[in-house]
Amino acid sequence: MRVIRNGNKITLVEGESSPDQDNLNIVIEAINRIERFLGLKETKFEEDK
Amino acid sequence: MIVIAKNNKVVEAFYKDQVNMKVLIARYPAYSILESNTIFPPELMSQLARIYDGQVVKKPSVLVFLDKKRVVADGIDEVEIRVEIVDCQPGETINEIELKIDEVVVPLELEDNKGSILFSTKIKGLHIISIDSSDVLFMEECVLAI
Repeated sequence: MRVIRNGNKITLVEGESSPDQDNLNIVIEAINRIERFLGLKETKFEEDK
Repeated sequence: MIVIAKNNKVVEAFYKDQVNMKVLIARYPAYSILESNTIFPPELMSQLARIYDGQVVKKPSVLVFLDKKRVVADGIDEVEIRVEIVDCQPGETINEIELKIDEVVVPLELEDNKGSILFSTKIKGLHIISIDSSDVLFMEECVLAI
């Protein structure tokens, strides 16, 4: 069982968590935070609207 | 109440009238010994209390809200998980908390002690949502994926 993260949405899927996927999730989350910090994203749900 | 603490965590607690301070100081030389106005049963003190700014206080509670309890396990249908931390100390903010969904840990960024995330799954069954921390109090929630 592992999590795929896309912005503010997480999806639980079958399979082992891999270091590459974990690192990718960390990078995606870091980019999201920077974008929110810079005001490029007004809300956490913008991409889902 | 007398509390024995180390690294801002409560290790042990005693009712004040049931301990001899000299004995405690000798028994716990490397620990902080604090007097507490926050009173829980001694055996529950380490679970329910913490040290903040040199004082013994209740741990914050994490409230977890779900907008629905059942979801289609297609990876598209989603549940909004909202998290709010209450019982923080004045001026205290918690910027991140780790949600635990089954055995997977998901960091969640908070703003004003609140945060939310959308959850979907491709795995049918009951998913338990908890908090991966002993520093807060919480009750588990669950989502049924069908």
